[in-house]
Amino acid sequence: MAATALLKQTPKPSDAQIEAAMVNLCRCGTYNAIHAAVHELAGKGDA
Amino acid sequence: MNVRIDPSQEASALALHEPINVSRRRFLAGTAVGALVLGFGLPLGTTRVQAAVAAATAERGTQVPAFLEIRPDNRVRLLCPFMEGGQGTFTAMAQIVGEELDADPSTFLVEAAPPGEAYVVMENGMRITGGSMSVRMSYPVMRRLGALARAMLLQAGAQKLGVPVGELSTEPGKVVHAKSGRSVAYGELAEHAMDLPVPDPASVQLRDPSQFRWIGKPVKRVDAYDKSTGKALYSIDLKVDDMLHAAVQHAPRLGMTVGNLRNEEQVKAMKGVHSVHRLPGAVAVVAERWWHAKRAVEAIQVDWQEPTADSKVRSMPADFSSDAWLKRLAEDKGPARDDENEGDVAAVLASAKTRIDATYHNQYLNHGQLEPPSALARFNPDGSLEVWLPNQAPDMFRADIAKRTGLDPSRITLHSPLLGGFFGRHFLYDAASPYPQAIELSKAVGRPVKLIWSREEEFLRDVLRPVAAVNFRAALDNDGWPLAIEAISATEGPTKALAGKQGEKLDPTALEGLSGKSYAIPNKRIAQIYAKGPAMLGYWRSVGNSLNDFFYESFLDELADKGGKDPFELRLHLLRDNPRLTTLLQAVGELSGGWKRGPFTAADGSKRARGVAMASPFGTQTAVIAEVSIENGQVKVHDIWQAIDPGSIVNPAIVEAQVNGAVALGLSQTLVEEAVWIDGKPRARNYDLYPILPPARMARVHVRVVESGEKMGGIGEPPLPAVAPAVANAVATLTGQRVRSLPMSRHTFT
Repeated sequence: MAATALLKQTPKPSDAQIEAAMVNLCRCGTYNAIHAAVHELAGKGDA
Repeated sequence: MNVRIDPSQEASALALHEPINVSRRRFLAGTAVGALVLGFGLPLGTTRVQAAVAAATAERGTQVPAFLEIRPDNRVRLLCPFMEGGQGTFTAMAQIVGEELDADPSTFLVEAAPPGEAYVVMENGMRITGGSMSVRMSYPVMRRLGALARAMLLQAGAQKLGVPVGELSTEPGKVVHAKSGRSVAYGELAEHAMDLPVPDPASVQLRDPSQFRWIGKPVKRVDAYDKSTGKALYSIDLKVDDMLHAAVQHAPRLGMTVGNLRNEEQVKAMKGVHSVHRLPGAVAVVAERWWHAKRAVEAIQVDWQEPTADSKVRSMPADFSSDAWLKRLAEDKGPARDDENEGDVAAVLASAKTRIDATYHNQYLNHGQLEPPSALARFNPDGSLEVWLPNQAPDMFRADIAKRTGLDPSRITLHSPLLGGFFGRHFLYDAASPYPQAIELSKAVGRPVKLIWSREEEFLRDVLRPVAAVNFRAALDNDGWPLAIEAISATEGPTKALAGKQGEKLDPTALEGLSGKSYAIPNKRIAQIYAKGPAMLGYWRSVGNSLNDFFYESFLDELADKGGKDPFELRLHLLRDNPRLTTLLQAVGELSGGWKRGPFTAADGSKRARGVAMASPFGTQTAVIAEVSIENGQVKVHDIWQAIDPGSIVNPAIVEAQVNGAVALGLSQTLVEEAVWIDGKPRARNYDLYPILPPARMARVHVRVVESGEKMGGIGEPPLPAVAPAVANAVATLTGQRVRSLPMSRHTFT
C-alpha cells in the first residue's frame, strides 16, 4: 500500500523518497530488497 | 495488474486445510511407531543419541513414499523434514531432491512432514529446524532420496514400456526411451513406482555436481507466490469447523499463580464470552471471536499469588532488574571451568610487560518474530488429538503433548504450518508456548479451540537471548603481537537454562564464539563461570556467537591498538597458517575496494571509518567490514561488506537474502535493541517500547560467497555474529571510544 501510494505520487522516486515512504518495520530485515523492488517497479512503469 | 493464474493454488489450499490423509499412504503407519524422542540440547555423544545415530545411518531418508507423492499432473509433493519460516529451506529441499529425481523444483509443492522416525534425516541423528543445520546435515541423504525415487520411476517405466531398465534415462519430469523415441511422464508412473520396493541405497548413483541444473542456482522460491498473494496459511490463520477462540492473561511474573478473580461474573457477561478459565499461571477467556476473548480476558482483575517454593517453573523474583544482573555478572568471581586451555596463560600474564584487561557485556533480547505464537487443538470423536502449532522440532513437541495429556503419541496428530519468522523462538521452552493452554481449553469446552497470544502476552513469556559478562586479560610480546588471551565468561548458556541446571559438561552454546577461534595465539584460556539467573532463556539467531564474537573480536582490536598493529594486518598475521581464513579475509577486503581503516572524509563530507571482524559459526566462516559515521551522536552504519564461506551452497539468491536478514538483525542488536527488565517485569510489551532496527538505519549490504569446497556449513545464522564487532571496531577507530557493551543506543558518541 505504501509502495502504491508512493509510485502514484512519484513515479520515479529517489532513494531518499523511497526511504521517506517505506517506513514499515521489518523483523526479517528485507529493507534493501524493498528498496530495490520499488526501484524495479518504477523502472517497469516507464516501459 | 495481471492476475497470474496458478493451477496449483486450489490443490495446495486443499492440502493445507485438510490434515494429511493418514490412510492414503502406507508410510504413515510406519512413521507413527517408535518416534524418536529427542531432548533438544542433549549433548551429542550420550548413549541414546549414539544408538539412534547408528541405527538410522544406513536407512535414513530411504522411505521414499513417506516423502514423495507424484501426482497425475506431474506435480511433486514433498513432505519436508524441515520447517519453512522464511529462511528458504522448502526451496532448497526442492532443489536438492529435484536435482536427483530429475524434476524441476518449480513443480514441487512442499509441506512440513509430520513427526516420525522416517523424517529423522540429519547426520547427527536429530530432526530439528535450527542451528543452521537443515541443508548441511541432510544434503547427501536428501540427494539420495531423490535418486532412489528416480530409480523407482525408471523401474516402473521399464515395466510400462516393456524395455530393459538399462535402456532408459530421464528428462525433467519423465522417463525416456531414446531408442524408440517414447517417453512416459512421472505422473503416469508414480502410482506403480511408489508400490515398488525401494532399491538398495548403495545401488543408486548421484549426479556429478558439474551437471547440476538446480543446485547452486538462484532458483525461485517455491513459497513466494502464495506468500505474495496472501494465500499462505500460518498457524494464526487456521480454522476448523465448530472452533472457538481463546485469549489469555498471564501472571505478571512467571511462577505466580491464579488467586481470586474479582470480577469474574461481570467478565462472563461481556459480549461474546463463552467461558472463563483458570490455567497454570494464567487466566483464559474462550469466545466465538478472538477479539471478544481478548477484550474480556484483559478485563479480568486477578489477585495473583506469589510463587510457592514447589513451583514447577523458574520463578521470576519481584526485584529482578536486567541492569543489576549484568553488573552482578561482571563482578562474579565464582569458580570457572575451562573449555579451552593451551600453553601457560597464568605464567605469561604474570610476567608480561604489556597487559590489556577489559570487561564486556551484552544485553537480553526478545525474538520479536512477526507472528505471535498460537495453537489450535481439537479432540476428535475417537479421543485422538490434533494440534496445529508453530514448532522447530515436531517430535519433541509431540512427545511433550503425550506427556502432558497421557495420550499415546500414535493418538496425537501434530501439524506444523509455516512459521511467521522464528529466529529460535519455536523450540520447546517450558511455559513459553500456547499449546498446553489450547489443549486444556479444548478439553474443557469440548470443542476445537484456537488460542492466540497477543503481542503483549508474547513479550511477557518469550524466552530471552542470554547475557554474559566477560573478563578478558591478554599479554603482548615485545613486537606487539598477542602472546596470551584469557576470557572468563559469567553466563548461563541457553541449553543449560532449558535443563535448569549445570551439567557434567560445559554448555557449548554458552561459549561458542569465544571458543573455537582460529587465531594463532600460543597461550589461551576460555572458561565459564556458571551463573544461573531468573530469566527464561532460549536460542536466538546465531545463539552464543551472537554475543561472544562481539566480545572477542572487539577485544582483539584492543590488542591490535595496544600493539600498534593494523587490525586487518593483525588478523592476517594470526591466520598466516590458515589458508581458508586468509582467503576469506582477503576476499572481504577486496569486496570493500581494498582495506581502508580511516578515519577518512567521504564524498558527502562526513567523517568515516571502517572496522573488520570475523566469525566461525555453525560450520561456516565469515568476515565482515563495516563503514560508519556519527550522526546526531549516534552511530550510522553506511555499508556492510560480508564474505561468507559455507563450503558450498545450494541457492545463491537465498544465501544473499539470509546475509541481508542476518545483517539487519545483527545491526539491530548492535545499535538499538534490548529487552530491559525492571522489578521482575519486561519494560516492553510491544514494539512501541521494544526497538528493532528501522529502515532508515539499515546499511547497504554487499555479499561475496566463497565456496572453498570444505564441509558444508550453515547459512541462516552465520552472517550475524561478525556484524556487531565490525561496527564497534569502526566506531573505535572513528571516535576513539571503545564500546564494551551493547546496544550502542546506551552510549553517546561525539
